[in-house]
Amino acid sequence: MPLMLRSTYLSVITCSIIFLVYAWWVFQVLGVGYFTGPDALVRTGKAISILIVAGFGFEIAVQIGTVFLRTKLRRLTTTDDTDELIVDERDKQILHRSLFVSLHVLCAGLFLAIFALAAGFEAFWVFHIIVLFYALAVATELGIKIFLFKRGI
Amino acid sequence: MNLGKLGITNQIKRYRFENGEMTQKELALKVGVTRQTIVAIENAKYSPTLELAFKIAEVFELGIDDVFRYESSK
Repeated sequence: MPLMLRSTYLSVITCSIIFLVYAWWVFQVLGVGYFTGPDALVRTGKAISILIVAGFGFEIAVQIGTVFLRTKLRRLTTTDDTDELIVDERDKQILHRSLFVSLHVLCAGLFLAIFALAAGFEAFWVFHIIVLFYALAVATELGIKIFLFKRGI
Repeated sequence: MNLGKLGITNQIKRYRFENGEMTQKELALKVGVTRQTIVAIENAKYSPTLELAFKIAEVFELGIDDVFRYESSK
């Protein structure tokens, strides 16, 4: 399996975990009014900051850990999968196409957040529209990558 | 083999077999791509860049127009 496809499958798992855990936590604390009151903006900022740092940290740790584990396993076996470490022109084209579409999804979220702000929505909802569309952008990117790897480009 | 709408055909599979039954993996390693990319080119699922097309032709010691051909729809 090519490096980029394996990394994409891994991202599907890690991103699902990250966003599901965050959504579960947000719905838990929403019930007790965590994001209301004078500290609402600061608490929203803290929650999203933790999501960014912990999310990227988890993703990077899993990706590096998998590469490390795979390298160890390759030494133990006599496999000749030398080309699985190559990222070639087709991989790069797939990456560019998926990023191009996901960027538009993210921009749609940013525009919607600005409209929500203008309409007088609370800070929590404005920022979480961005988070939601970021999650959708990631899902779009990963989905397009898998589709193009399978169907061709 | 037809590359869909582009009308580009290639003879990679034929030349691989004419060159000592070269495997897709061997060809992939020689031109610096993955085996999946060679599979995609042969199965008309990916149109290679000009650079890769030249590299593939070079492996078979042929000109690019011997391996790849463009058939105009006109």
